[in-house]
Amino acid sequence: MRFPKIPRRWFYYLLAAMVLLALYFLFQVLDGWEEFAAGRSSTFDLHAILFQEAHTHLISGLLRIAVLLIALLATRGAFASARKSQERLERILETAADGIYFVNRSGRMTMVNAAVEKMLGATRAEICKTKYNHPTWKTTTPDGKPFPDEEQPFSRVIKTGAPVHGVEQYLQRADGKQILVSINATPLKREFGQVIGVVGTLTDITERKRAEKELETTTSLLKSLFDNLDEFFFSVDVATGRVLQASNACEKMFGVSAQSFMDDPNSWRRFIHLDDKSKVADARSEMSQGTTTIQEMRIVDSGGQPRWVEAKFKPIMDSSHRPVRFDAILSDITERKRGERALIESEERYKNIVENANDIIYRTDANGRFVFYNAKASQLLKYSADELIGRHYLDIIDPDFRKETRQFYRDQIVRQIPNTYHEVVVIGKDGTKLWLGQNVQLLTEEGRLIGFQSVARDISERKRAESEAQRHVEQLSTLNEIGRTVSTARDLTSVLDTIYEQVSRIIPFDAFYISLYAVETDELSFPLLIDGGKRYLSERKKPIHGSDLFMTLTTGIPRRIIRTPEDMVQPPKPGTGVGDQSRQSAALLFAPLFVKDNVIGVISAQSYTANAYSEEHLQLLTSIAYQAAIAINNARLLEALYQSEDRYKELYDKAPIAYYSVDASDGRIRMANQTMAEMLGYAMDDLIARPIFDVYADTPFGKEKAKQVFERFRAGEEIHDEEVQMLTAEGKPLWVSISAQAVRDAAGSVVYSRSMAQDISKRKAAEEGLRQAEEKYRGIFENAIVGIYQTSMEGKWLTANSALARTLGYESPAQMIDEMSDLNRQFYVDPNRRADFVREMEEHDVVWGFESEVRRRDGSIIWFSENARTIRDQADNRIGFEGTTIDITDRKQVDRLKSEFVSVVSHELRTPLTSIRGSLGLIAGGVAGEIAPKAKSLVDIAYKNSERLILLINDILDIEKIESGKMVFDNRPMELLPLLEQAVEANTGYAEQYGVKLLLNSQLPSVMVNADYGRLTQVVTNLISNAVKFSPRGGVVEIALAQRKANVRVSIQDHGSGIPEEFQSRIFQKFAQADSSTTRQRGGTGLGLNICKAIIEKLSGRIGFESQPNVGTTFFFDLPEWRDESAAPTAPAKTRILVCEDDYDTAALLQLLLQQAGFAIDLAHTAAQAKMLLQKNHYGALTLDLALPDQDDIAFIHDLRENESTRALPVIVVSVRAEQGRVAVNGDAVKVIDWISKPIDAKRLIGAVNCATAHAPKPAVILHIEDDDDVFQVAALMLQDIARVEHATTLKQARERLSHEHFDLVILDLEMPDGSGLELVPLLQAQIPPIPIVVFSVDEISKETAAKVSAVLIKSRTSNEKLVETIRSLVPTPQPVIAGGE
Amino acid sequence: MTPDLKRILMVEDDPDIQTVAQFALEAVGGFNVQVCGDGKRALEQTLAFQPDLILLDVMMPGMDGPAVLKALRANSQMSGTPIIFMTAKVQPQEVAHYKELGALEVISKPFDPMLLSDMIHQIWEQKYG
Repeated sequence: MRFPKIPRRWFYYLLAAMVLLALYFLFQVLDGWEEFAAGRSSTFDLHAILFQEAHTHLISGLLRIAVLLIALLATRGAFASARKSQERLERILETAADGIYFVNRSGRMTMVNAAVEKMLGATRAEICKTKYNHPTWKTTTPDGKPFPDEEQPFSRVIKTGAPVHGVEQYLQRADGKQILVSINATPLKREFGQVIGVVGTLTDITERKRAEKELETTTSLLKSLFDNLDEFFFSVDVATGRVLQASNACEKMFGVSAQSFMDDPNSWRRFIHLDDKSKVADARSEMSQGTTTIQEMRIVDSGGQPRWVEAKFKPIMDSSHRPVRFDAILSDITERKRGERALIESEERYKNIVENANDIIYRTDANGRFVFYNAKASQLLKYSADELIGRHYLDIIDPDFRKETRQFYRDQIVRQIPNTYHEVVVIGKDGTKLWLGQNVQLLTEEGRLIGFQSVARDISERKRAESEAQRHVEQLSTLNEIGRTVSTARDLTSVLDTIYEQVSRIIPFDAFYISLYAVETDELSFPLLIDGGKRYLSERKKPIHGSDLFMTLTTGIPRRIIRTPEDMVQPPKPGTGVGDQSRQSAALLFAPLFVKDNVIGVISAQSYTANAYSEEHLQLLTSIAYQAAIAINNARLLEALYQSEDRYKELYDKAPIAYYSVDASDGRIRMANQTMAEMLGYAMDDLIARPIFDVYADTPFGKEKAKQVFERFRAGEEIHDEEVQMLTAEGKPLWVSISAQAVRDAAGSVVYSRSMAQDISKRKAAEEGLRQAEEKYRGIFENAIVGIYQTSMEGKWLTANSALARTLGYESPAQMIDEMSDLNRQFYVDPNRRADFVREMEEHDVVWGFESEVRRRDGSIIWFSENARTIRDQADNRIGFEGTTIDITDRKQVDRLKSEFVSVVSHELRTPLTSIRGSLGLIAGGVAGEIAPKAKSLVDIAYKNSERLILLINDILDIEKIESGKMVFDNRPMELLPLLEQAVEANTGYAEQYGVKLLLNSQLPSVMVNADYGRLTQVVTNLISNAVKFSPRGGVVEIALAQRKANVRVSIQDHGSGIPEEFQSRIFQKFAQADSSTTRQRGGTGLGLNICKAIIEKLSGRIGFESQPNVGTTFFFDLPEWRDESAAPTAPAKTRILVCEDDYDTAALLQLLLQQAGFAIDLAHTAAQAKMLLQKNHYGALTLDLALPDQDDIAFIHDLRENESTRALPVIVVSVRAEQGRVAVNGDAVKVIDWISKPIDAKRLIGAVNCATAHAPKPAVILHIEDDDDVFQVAALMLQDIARVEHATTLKQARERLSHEHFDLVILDLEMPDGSGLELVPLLQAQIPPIPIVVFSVDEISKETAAKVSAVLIKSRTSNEKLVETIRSLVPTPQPVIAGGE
Repeated sequence: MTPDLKRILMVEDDPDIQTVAQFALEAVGGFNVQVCGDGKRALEQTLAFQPDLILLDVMMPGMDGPAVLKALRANSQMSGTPIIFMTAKVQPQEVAHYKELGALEVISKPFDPMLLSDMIHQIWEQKYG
């Protein structure tokens, strides 16, 4: 820049002058102000001061200017230095690389430096002519947009006063080209902010921009290249481990996007296969040294897929030679790896095949020298791995095979056969010979032979087996031949010859004999004897004890003997050598000839050579001997048979079965035995040669059938048990069963028969009888009045008789069966009835009186009562039901009418009674006012009787219900005691009326019965009120509850007069009261006890009483105790055994043994315990140790026998001292089942216990023949501890029962409805053993009769005790059965 | 609190029993008793008399006892009145049936006139006491 050239001196002068002048005027003004301020001048006239007084003060002013000029001159130096620095600045501006410019406020370029000139290609003068809107400055932005005027940087800066920086813009050069510049512009401002111009710089950025652009292109090119590479590239910051960059191949490599790969702090390490993490560590350590490494490693992608990669890790080092990051390139080499592995595997496989082959593999060169052989070869041949290399193959071939082998190879070469097979024997290093089967391959190269390769297998085993097999075939055929001889040869000589012949084929020998032993003479014979090829004649001699022959003969054991040379020096054992005595055998075989279990002789083969025989030879000879023995025996038997032909003939003739023989060709009888002739009534001569059909009847089962059978026989069939009708000589038909076997000629054709015939006429007659009987039953079935049927399980009629069909309105059974196909729906009215029926059947197998409404054909409904049972097949499966039906419609009708009647009547009776009793009750109660005493007593009577009438009606209703089976019992388990308490309480008031006290005495606080509460209360109340009525005033009625075996007993005891004996038997009968006066005295209906009995029996109980005149009566009833079955399910009762044993282990053993045998066991360890248990429980048997700690055991047994309840208990002694015990007790009354010593023989123990319990005493059974039920009941009750009492109410019934049941005693009433009991006496005495008879009757009997019976008791004269005692004495006391320990 | 038991309506077709029972209830029990002979009347009288308890016979001409009970129960004004059956038909299943119908209790005929009132009191106490 150039300032206008003004002489600087002048400028200073002028400036100094102006300053002086200014100072002059300043002083003037100051003076004027002083005077005005001092009041010396009245005005302050600035104009006058300045111009009028100027020349007056000019001189002093000039003085002052001079002073100032001097000061001014002093400043000249400063200006000069400023000027210098300006020049320096100008030089810098001129030489600056960037353009520098000034623009004035109007936008014109005022100054530019050289750089601008260069940039724009124009001179300074030219440039300074331009304004901001000149095309030079107003071209385009880098992206090609034109600048509007206001956006031009200069103009913008001028306008806004704000600087701009780095505006990139094209400028137009003078030559028209454009250059890209970066413009900075700063406003030049005055002190008040007014913009007076712009100064700034221009930088030519064309080149930079171009370079930048070029770089960008290259980068994007690289990037796209980089992203599209298959190799995955990433780089990692070493310090942080973070991935800085990752290529898109990431997706392909790991299955994750490059971005997520980079975001994951652990990304690349996670994909490395676990086993290859170490490789990464290796790479890292190498990289820290600055080395680039390449690793093959496995990665696992995000899908879990492993693959092989080749990873190249390249570290990037900083200046201090430390790695800052590393770049990694991963290439997928999975495919390659796979290929590699496949190759390796395949190679390995082949190597393995060769090395581990079961085959020998070897190779020779063209000269036949080994170049290779595998492990198997060296293993088999015993040569080490390279021992054979270089040796000739013939060296290992067995010399016998060398020639053949050489020939074989030559052939192969000459005939150019690439593969051949041959078998050869080779010799191993240790001399063992091996059979090899080898496949030999010619190895050629370009048509030239280079060697052989063999794959060979050890076939020694096969070869051995082959020769073995051949030998076996030979042996078998020999044995077979002997076997055949057995069945064909008839005489001993030919048998022996065959044996000799066959044996010589398979067993080498120098001497051979067969020796037979005859028991009768104790002699050996030698029917066959060969020595040194010479056959000797048979000789007989006694067997010599101890000889080898003798040993085999007596023991039956085959023997093989090898003589050592030392043995041979000894003289031969006597009796062994036969034939040629000059030579001794060194090897001997002896085999027994067995027939069944007897040794009949010995067969022996002998050789002069010591090692001639193996064990196998002995076995062979034994087998031969087995066959030979049969053959010899057969031959001998046959001989014997011939000798006994006569005897045989007799047997044949006298056989109980008819034998005969028919000629197959002409059907004539060839032969027959005597039995046959007799059976048919022919003379033997008459029978022989008669055509067989002559002896058959002229019926379908006669000739006709015989002809068919004969044809079948001729066709070769065996005939079995054909039933035919023959004809006797007298012309009577005869049923026989015939069988026949064919006898064939050598060609196998049937020659004649061996037939037999058996007379079956008796059986046939029986069958006929059966058939007739069946017909008869069928008749019964058809003609029965009751319906009879069979149905299937599913509900179909199978059979039905006419009566049933008729009753149901069908014309015939067939029609009914046809039309009524579903009993469930069509027969029963109630659709569930059939199901009820089936259920009953399943539970009981029978139904009895099963009443149902059923439909007739016309739809009308009738009542049926069915009795039916289940039909089972032989395997015991249910297959259906059969039963009878009765139409009970009428009876039902009557029942209904009766029950309606009773119900109505009782209601109708009650209604008037209600008012009668009510009225009387009120009057008697005084409610209606006072009545006269006489009237009162009458009213009381009326009232009492009305009460009785009511009770009577109630009882009649009950009886009716019981008898019609309509009394409903709502049985449920309940405590018995509370019921009794309640009954006692309810009756206390009533008892008080009679002055009687009720006492309840229970031994059982808690006992349950399954009963109907109301009904049971009714019984108890009835019995209590009876007892009260019959008690004397002030008396006590005791009500007791006690256990009685499985039952509970409730008893009600009074202390009255007792029941008259003659009445006792009728007490439970209806309207039974001792006498009518009682009724009047005591009230009651006479039905109470009958009802009680019925109710108790319905509750499965039993009622009874004991009475003594003037002592009192006890009524009681027993009910089964109810136990919670669900709590303790009772297994089917096992017999309980008491084991009494002090040793705990033995006790446990006994318990185990007996439990396994199915017994229930209680253990007692002392005699006291045992006694306690025996009192409490019932046992089937007792096992007893003889060493109990607390009591002498024998004494214990005696104790048991003393005691009534254990007298019969079977005892089994199990003891170490059993034997002494037996002696000690011997002869004593004590019965002991068995004595078993320890250690225990389990079998014997269980046997003894089984025996004891099987014979455990059964209660005696008594038949009480008595028409009065009550007498029976009473007797049964009294005798219940002694015996089971069965009842027969008629003689007929008694006879029936006696005919098929066993009774130990009979109690006989003489007055029976169907005759006198005495009629039975002969029958009873005829029983074996005779049954004791106790006559228990009202009548006396004659002395003769009394003599025939055991006891006579007169009813009403006999006390209960007497009866019980008498019977006890007559009933056999159960005794244990004594099973011997012998 | 036990409801009052003073007024008893007795429905009974047999005039003798009517008389005896009424006598027993009034003289022995001290109840205020009305009687009627058939079911139809019983319904009318229940409305008029508003008894605390009805003693109802079972076997009656026309409406029988259970029918009367049902009719009473069907009428909202009378449905709350307790009923005791008094009958000779006292088979266990019959008694169960009456109770199912809603009877308070069943008194069997013939009854003891001296004890009848006590019995009714007892039943009352048992149910409401």
